[in-house]
Amino acid sequence: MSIVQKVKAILSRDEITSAKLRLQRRRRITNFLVQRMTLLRALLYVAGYTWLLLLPLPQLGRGIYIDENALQPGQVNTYWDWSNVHSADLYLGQLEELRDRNASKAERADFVRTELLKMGISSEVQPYTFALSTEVLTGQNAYGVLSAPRSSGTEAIVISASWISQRDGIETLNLRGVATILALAKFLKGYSLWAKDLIFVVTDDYMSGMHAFLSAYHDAVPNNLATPPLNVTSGVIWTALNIEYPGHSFSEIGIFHEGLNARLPNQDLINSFHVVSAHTGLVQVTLYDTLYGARPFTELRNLLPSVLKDHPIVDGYLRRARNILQHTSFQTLGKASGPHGLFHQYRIDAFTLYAIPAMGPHGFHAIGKIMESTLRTTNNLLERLHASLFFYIFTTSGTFLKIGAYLPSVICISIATMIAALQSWVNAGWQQIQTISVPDKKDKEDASSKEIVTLDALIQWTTRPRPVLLTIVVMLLSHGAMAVAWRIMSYSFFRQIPWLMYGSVGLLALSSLVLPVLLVEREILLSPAFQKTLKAFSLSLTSTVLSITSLLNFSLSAVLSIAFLPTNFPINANNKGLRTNELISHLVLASLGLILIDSQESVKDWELFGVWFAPFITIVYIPLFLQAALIPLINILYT
Amino acid sequence: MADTALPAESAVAFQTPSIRRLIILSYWVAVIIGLPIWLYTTSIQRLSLSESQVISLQGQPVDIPVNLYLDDVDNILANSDHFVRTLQTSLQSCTSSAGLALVVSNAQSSTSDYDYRLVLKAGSADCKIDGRSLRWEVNRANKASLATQMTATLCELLAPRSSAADERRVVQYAPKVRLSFSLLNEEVFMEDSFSSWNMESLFQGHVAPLLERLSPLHNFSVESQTQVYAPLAFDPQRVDNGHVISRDQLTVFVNSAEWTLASGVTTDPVLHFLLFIPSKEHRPLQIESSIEHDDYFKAFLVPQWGGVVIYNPPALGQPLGPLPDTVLQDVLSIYKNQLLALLGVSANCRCITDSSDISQWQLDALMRRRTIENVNRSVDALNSIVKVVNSIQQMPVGKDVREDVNTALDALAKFYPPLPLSPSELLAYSARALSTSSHAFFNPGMLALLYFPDAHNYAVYLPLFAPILVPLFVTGIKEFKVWRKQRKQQKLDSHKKAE
Amino acid sequence: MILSCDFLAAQAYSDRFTESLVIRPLEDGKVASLFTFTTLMAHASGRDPINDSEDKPQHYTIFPLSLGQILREYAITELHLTLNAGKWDYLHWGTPEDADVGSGAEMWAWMADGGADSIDSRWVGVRNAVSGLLCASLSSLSIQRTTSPLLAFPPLGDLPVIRPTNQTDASKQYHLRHASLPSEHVCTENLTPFLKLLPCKSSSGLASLLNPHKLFDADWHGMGVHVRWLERKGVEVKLTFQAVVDPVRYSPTHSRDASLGSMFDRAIEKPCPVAAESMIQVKSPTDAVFHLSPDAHMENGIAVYDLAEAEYPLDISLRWPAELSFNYLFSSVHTSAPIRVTRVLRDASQTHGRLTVSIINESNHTQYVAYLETVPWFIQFYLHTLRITVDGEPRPDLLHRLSYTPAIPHADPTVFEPIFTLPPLKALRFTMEVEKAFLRYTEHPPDAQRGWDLPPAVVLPIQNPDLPFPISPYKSQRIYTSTLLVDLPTPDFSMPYNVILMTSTLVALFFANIFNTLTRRFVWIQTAVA
Repeated sequence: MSIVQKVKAILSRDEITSAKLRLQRRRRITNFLVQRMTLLRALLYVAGYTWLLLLPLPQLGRGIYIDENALQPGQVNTYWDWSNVHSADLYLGQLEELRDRNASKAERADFVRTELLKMGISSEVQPYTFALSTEVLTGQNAYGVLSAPRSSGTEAIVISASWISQRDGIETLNLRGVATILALAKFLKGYSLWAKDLIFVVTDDYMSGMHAFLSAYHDAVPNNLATPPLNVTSGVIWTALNIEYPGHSFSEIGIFHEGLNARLPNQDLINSFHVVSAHTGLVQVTLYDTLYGARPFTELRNLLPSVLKDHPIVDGYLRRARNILQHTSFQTLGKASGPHGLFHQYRIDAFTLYAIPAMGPHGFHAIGKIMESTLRTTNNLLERLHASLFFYIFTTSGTFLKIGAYLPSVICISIATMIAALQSWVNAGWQQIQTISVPDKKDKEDASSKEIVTLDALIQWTTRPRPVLLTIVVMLLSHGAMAVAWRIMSYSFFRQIPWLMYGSVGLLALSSLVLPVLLVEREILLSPAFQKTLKAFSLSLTSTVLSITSLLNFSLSAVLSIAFLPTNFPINANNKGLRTNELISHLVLASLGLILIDSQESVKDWELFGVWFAPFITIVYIPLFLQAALIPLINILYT
Repeated sequence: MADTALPAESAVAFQTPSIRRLIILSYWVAVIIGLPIWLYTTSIQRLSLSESQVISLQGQPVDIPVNLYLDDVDNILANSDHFVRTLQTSLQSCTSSAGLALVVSNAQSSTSDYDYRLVLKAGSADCKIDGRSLRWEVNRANKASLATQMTATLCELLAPRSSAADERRVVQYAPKVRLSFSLLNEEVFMEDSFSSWNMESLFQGHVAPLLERLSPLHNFSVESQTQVYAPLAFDPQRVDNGHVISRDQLTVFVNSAEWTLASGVTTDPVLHFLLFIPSKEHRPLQIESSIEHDDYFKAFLVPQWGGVVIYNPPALGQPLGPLPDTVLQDVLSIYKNQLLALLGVSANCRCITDSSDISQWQLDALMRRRTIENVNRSVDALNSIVKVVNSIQQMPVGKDVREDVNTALDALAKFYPPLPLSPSELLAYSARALSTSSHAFFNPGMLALLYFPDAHNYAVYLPLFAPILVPLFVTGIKEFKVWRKQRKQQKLDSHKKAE
Repeated sequence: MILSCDFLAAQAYSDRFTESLVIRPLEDGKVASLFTFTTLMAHASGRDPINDSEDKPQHYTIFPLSLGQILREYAITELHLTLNAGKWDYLHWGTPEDADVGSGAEMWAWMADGGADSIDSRWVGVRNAVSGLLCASLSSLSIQRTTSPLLAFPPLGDLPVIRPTNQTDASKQYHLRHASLPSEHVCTENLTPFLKLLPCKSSSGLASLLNPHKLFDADWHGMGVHVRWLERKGVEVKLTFQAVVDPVRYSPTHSRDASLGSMFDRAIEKPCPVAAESMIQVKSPTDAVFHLSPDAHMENGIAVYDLAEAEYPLDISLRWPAELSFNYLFSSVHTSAPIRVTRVLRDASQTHGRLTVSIINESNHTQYVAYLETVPWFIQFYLHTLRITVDGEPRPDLLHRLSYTPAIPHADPTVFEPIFTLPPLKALRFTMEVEKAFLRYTEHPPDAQRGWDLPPAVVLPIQNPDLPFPISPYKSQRIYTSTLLVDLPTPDFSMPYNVILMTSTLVALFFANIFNTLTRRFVWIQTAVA
């Protein structure tokens, strides 16, 4: 049959038959897909999880670059010299003197204020009090505003140091950080090239002080904070540099950039700092508080065969993996990795320079030069940094993952979950009945329609009603119960008595499981229609949560995507062992969330900084597991 | 057919072909109505200019009618008609080149007041001008050369020739001209330098009458200032007695960076007249190989810009104060000549007795010349507008542009053919034509959409139009097919019935 | 600027040019200096827009022609222009010698009405002309920035009665136009033409000290042009240049000793011959050990130098021999303004914010102030959210009178003019919620997007708050707040085409769906036997 004839045939074909053919084609395709749906899911899972594993590979990442041309990092000669280092040392001496006679918060703040005033920088002390449900935080910040010559004072840069430096739960005094601030203030006042005001802030405590300062500065004082309005103010803050310099000298500078609720500063700022310190300060920049050359996961390495142990590829992989994990640990909990993390919510780009304590070689001289040069760079800035540079994951201080490189992993998993949900939704409504019948001989000549015929002949479907309303009620019950639990957790009364609190939370969770079992009669609960619908709904909710959080907080969604894996397995009504395992695993995972909240003081974070990790876990995460746990529970109880 | 067993498609719930067709139709109606609206709202306004007229004007010579009446009072001429004819022919050469249509004829009783009279009288060979008439005294002895003499004189009066050099001096015509007089001390001292001048009153006496005379030609506005620090941009050469400015230094003499001469408020042409008083160490300041040998005043003229007078005051040790009026008077008289030169007033011919005043003949000649210049310039402007608009399709042409062009054309209509109007009236028309046409040419609105080509529009909106139009077409055609088929079917059925 | 004819003879000789420099050491070791150059054009008066035409001859001697032309062309009776760089620190620097210290460019004019072209067209004209004269970008002071406040900008001179009306109406013939451009940067290109307006340029006299290299490194500097008409005197143009320099920053030993040499790195070589009077005044602090050389004759605590008698080169130096390096804490000088104002606009979100103004009365008696806030239309006040408090207590009674002109979107700005009563030694604090408009994409500036500058607010102390208008009778010194930077919701302009493509694709998608469902034909098809 030549093409011409074919074409003729197609053209001459009347509409009914063509429609028929189209219909058949469609069916064939759908059948094809339906049959391989489970396979497709499996593939997506594998793809997603392997992708997560591959994130540390160098091939996925790329080198950092400066996007904003105005920044011109490291293009200026710095004037910071040994005389300034000397003045820094003098300030340090006075600070140590304060420390030794352990001076009160007020004295400390007043010392800083007076020093700033001596330089001719108008400054004042800001006392503050946080009334939390468990404790009361009080402190005194000292800050000063150096208004730039000939500028209208509408823009500002913040240079801050908290009195305490806190790494891995260990608190040390940030004396050198404060000394650096004072020396910088004295030094920078001598120059007229500033286009933006410079605000020098020495905050009390580690985080709370900066939080108090920023809320007062932005006139957004929360109810649990008592502090007077600031008298010495400036304009819009563009960037902020926070110094942590606990040791007496340092070898490398570590960057901490994670903000509250997984907010990040604009990458350009960090990149330009990287360039500055490499070219001007000649100081190695690294991520977090591990030295650049450090070899993490030693015990894991020891498990490896000696060939791989120190193989550069393995080594590199492990290092990046370590950084990514560090990043994830901050972001998942929505914690800030330092005082800088409080700035991001006001659209201020900020990060912390952590001078990693060591025997040398660097000191005030290096950090002063780097600070000066970085400030000059940020001083050049004429407009907001570009909006597209807020999505990134640093693998090393010099390389990072673009959003396109990491986002798909979670999205794959979320899609797979959604498919599972849809499958179980279909299965809830439809039921297969096998029938054997001879394929009729009527239209044998019509070859194309043959397999359709056979298919239709062999498989038969019957529909059954889906108890949608009931399912929704059940789900709402679990969420509602945990919402109540959340209220309890945030009441000061309960927080005083942990056993009571967790007891009641547990009760609520349990009730959300037991109530349906008691109220709804056995047949409905046991009916696959109900179970499948419930699974469908909770899975689709899971998938939605995953895909939404993947943009807001990638680390969290990555963790969730792993945590939620067990809920994706199909229901098995018969195998006793399996379903008990299921029940237990779900309940364990649910309680893990609670344990995490407790261990990380997430509720306090919520009270103080509005970190939404705790409420999210209680009101969204745990109920999802409860819903998943309900099905095996029913099956165990009734069979 | 296998499907014949099945119920008709109309039996399928909720569908009737008529409604579906109506739906499709309504979509198409929407598109068809929408399309022209869209085109209209996104298109650029390009009003049509009356091109044919504009182009027709191009290259047409303007001939301003001039009537000259010969009035032979003492009947000197035997055959005046013949003389008139010879005069006509002999004058033709110079007048036509100046764009005049000269008609010489015998005296008539009724002549409009802007015609010229040529009065022949007996007497010593002499000529005298008053108003628009020229009294020519002839002694009957040498009548032979009369025609030739007369031709020369009349040519000079009616269509004065000006050398290329003079041409370059003359400022381009504008109805309003601003005269700015500046007293510039290179450096100020406690004595022998001048902080002010009495321009106010002296101006009234000296320059004002002249301006009054020129008022039909230009509308003058006058301003004056004094500056006490007006340094030169260069160092004049040192010579044994004082300093000298070389010829090429003259071109950079006006130090517009330091001397605030420019006027910020108007776009009218400004004629600057500077009185420059050198600093003590530069006195006396001479101009290299200058013509006049007055050692106090040195004057030179900057073509199309203005005139400069350098005054080297005698060292009298008089305290810092106003410039002596006597000096200022001399300066003003120099300025007057410079002004006339810049405006292009022709040199006096021998018939003009008092040299200070400008004769009506000179004035008329100048006005006629200006008129012709203006007409030509505005015609050029109009033509270039038309050219540009035609060459750039993106260029919008607004209402204001068209109005300007039309007013210019109306004004120009007075010259094709030229109406018998007084020179000043003609000048006024030409001026209006010039101003409106140039205004149209520099209309900012014509640059508005120049940089946004249509290609962009389509490129951007393609993803919207393509997916919308394709299904519209397909379903439309399909439906049409079905409809035709049904028509056929019905026909067949009806035939069957008939049989 | 034309002379009435009977003064013809007199005029040429009676024009008068005077110059003066006031130097004042400040509390924080800086030194404020004010140059004033006044040219009086005797017996002249502004052009009546109706009766006399622009074409009458105009003759000037030492009065700058280029300025005169502008005033005459647009018939301006009173013109004020200030170009300032920096934020005047009222707390440490006290009240400035010349009151108009608002950051950026500010311009206002009093014009008589009538005549062929309207007030506004003349305002536009004079704006462009002046920006041409001083190389400032004032032409961007569009109608979005132009207002006519009632109180804060009274005429400094007299207003001639141009048409025979009953005296009470005379003031009604005049209109005020005011505009300010906080983002204007003041630099050399403005100073050069400014100096050209002076008779002696910068070649002699006090003006020779105006050396751009030094001045534009100052902590604060500003220039002003003030033209006014004084009855029985004539038209007076006052050119001012004000600067605050920081000797401590310059000196290696951080001492606050200053001299003309150190501040302007020039000394005065010779006086300006046409200046009828030129003085230098040093307001020396009384209490401190303070040494001034060369010696001057004192007039009630102020050292005065007359350039006519001075010997040249003249370099005045201020020294504190007692102290080696300056310590800000123990400054002997104390300068502070009787009223201080702070104003902040904090944006809680991209669309809303809160304006917080606190006016502090430093004196120990009650004061009245007129407050003026003019913001472009894209900041909209919620007047009902106005809250007035004094140390936390709500005090609505302190609002004496209020005039409010709401903005017209995409056109006129908001004008908010309350009159407050300030209790002694207290800070009056008022807050107001504001909404930020979403701009059309053509309204965003093409250049770098750093946000929008809001002009400074103005506070005018007044004696009697009940005087009648229309022309404000208050002639006290204005106080300026700092300018504000507000960022409006801004789309990402780097990819407009993508946005258009995306949206049109979506629209097409929806269309296709609806269209299909509306026009699909349903037919019976037999696929197989049951």
